Amino acid sequence: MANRIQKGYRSHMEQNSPDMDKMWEKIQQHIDSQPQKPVQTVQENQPEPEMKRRRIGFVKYAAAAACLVAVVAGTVVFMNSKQDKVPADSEKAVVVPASSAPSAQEKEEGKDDKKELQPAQDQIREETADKAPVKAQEKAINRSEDQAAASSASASSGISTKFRELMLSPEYTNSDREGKLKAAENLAKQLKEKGEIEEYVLKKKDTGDRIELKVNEDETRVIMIR
Amino acid sequence: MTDAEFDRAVELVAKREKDGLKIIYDAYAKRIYQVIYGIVKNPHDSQDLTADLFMKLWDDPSSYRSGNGHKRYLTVMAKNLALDFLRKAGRQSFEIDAGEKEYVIPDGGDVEKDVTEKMSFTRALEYLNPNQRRVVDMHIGMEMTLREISEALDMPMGTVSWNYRSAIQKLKKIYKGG
Repeated sequence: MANRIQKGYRSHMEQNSPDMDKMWEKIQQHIDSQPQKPVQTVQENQPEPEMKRRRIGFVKYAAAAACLVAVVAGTVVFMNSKQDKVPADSEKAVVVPASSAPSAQEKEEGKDDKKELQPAQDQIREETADKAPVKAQEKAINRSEDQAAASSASASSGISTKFRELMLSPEYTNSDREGKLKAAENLAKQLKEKGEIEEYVLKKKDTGDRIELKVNEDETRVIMIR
Repeated sequence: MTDAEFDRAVELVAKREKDGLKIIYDAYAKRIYQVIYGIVKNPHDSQDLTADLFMKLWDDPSSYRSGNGHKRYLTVMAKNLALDFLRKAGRQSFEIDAGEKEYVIPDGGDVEKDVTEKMSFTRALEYLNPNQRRVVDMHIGMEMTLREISEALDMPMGTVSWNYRSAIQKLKKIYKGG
């Protein structure tokens, strides 16, 4: 039945088609009447789905690259911010090789806290005058006065600075351990008397001696002694 | 004609060789005429518009995009030319999506019997609504698949299929020739 319809359609198409030659002549006339145009090139367009796929592929790679850049940049920023956040008086900040000299920044900060440090340093000088290691400490304190080393604006960072001056003088050696500990303990005692700290605990360990200073309820400073 | 053959013919047209256009003309002129006639319903206008289509192809062969199906390209161009012509001729009343009502053939009755017994296929086609006619012209005339017709007419596949089925049923009912 469907074939019958198709046959019917084809015969209808043949019977009802116009004069094809006449129509072609008309088209030719149009072609001939046109001025000679430069040769046109056929636009070799790819199928739409393929073009879309290519576009998606490009976007995918661009997005991946952008993500990679964002992750790397984020990591760098995070690391930088983490470094900035490390408190000046934390363990890490205090533990510096004995040979290192105070930095320019420390010098700057030291100038500000110079007056604050003065009474404590004087007391240390008096009490430890008769001991050899303490002499070296005295030298360190004097040097620190000259060099105006390490401190910060806050009271707690001031404490750290004081200990830093005690512990990190290049004159100290491992053999001065006891002397250093005593000097540190003396300083802690003085600070406690002055009310700058509430409590201190001296801890001797193989990995390194340390003194823990309880500044207030919430804050505890750990000073490594090397 | 395959897509590859059509592509080669269009390349010749792009090189300003008439032979390329003649190949396409011989293969499709009659079919395109039927598609246009199905919309315009006037033989002279259909003839002019068919010629216009080939002139357009000659003038701008780059408008053909290889890979999208050459039959689709030709039928869309034919449909647009015909609809533009009707708009310009002030026949806006022509409705693409005209309903079935105008074309419904009464079921049974002597009138139908008288008509169907002697009716030619050309007359039978006139009983189809515009959408049915277009789908028949494209599917049987242009040998396009229903999917290609759906894309060319921007019509859902189900609608195209339904239009074709109902057109064939109608033709079976009223065309008795063979």
